[in-house]
Amino acid sequence: MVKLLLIIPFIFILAGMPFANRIQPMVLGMPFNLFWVAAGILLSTCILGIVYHFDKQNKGEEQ
Amino acid sequence: MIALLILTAFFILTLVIGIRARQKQKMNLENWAVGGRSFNTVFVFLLTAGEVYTTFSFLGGSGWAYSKGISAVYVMVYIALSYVTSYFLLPLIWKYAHEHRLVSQSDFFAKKYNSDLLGVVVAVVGVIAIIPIVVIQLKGLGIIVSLTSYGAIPMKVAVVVGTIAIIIYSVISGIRGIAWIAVLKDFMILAVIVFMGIYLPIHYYGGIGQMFDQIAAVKPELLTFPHTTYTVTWFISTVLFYVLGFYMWPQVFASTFTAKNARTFRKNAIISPIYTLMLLFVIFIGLTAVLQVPGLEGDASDLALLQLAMKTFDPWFVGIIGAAGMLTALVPGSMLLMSAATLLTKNIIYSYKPDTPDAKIANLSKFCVPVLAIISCLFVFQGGNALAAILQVGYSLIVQLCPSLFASLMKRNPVTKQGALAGIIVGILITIFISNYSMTLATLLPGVPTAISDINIGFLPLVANVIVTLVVSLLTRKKLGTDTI
Repeated sequence: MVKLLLIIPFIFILAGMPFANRIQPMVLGMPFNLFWVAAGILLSTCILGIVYHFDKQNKGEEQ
Repeated sequence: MIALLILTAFFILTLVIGIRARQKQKMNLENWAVGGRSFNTVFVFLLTAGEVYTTFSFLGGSGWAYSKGISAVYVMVYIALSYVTSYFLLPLIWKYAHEHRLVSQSDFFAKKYNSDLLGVVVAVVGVIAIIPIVVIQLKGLGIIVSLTSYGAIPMKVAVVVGTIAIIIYSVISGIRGIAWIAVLKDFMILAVIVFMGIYLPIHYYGGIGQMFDQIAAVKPELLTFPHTTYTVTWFISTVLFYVLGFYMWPQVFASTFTAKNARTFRKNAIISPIYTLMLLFVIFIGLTAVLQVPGLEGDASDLALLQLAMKTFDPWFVGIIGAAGMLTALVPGSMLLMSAATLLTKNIIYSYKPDTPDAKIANLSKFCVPVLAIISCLFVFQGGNALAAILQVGYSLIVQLCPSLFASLMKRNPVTKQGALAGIIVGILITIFISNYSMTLATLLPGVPTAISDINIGFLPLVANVIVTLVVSLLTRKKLGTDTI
């Protein structure tokens, strides 16, 4: 069930792009759309870390 | 002269590392092709995540940013999201392959669907799709070495010498040689890309923010997805299309089979997307070149990174950039050729004799590496096409395997072997037709809204594939009750 969280990066980056496709406001010196992509990729790592943590916990409980 | 010396030194170092990696290992088929299934997290990471840094990302990524602007981010997005899917996909593939001692992607399909014929078809698709990608690596190698040696090494000589090196260490050390060279490659390319991505905008504009300010003032169209061709619709569909195809490549399957256990993939999946962020620096380099080396048109835009480097740095540093670029061609190139050789030997030539001894298959596989390398070289010398265009053709072919692969991983597979075969063949035929006539949805369906016409053309054969797969599966399941090919 927790693996469903993995769909969030797809929604954030891809479905968010029509709204994020602009230059302003510049964030960290980058156009907003480029910042949006970088933020989405960092979000992917965070979510994968969370899913891995829960997976490990569930396996520990099973054993 | 100094650049040539540095390039030569790194070339010799690569060969030595590749050959020494064999140590005293007995090179049977399992050891040669999948490293005896003993690779730890670091090696599996370098073989799978290291695939990010090929000559395409080095030259093609910066070239795309130079000519088409921000839409180059599709490369880093599709790779990052592919790693997200790897979290649940690769452990499933590895577990099945480990249980059945599988060596190639074709083995996986043949075993899952209990059909040798499907195994042969998958192997043929794999070999055909791999050749264009090997061509990208060799073409990139030729461009990088000839430019960074300031013309001392002609492109054709660079391609031939690089190919000979790939053949030598692939045949002698197999995937172990590639894994050790991948360690050197990733350190080199990361250092070079991050340094150039930070230094060049500062050197020419005073900083990354100032660079974007200047481009926004002169060429603002490069900093957003445009309203035609490379639109947001194109971006979303292309990313999804490439994500579907990312783990269909035979060499990625081979990398997967090398792991010790399934946990390796889950750990790798967490850090891999961050690794992809390094491609931001490639985009910065391409965008820096926009105002500094103007006038590169068409295929020449792939030279943006190297032209800017030669304009900025001393020859010794250009030599180091060239050496890093050379490694981005050698590692994926050898991995691709080894996978193709294994497929060709085990799953096509010896498919009619499944009881052939492993030693015989391993020997013929090693012979097939130079044969496939020479064929790829001939395609390079024929010329034509930018790197991104070649990549699209390769992906369009290999993605046809994904409907039957995903179906086979379900608890109850809805697809029969007949359905899988029919779907793959229909998808391939439509792909070849579309590629031959350079079609897009806009040319096929004139007058439809851009939200539809900008969808990646690769989805057309894929949708046809899914429909044919499901219809034929439905018919054969009803008619036969069970599978009998």
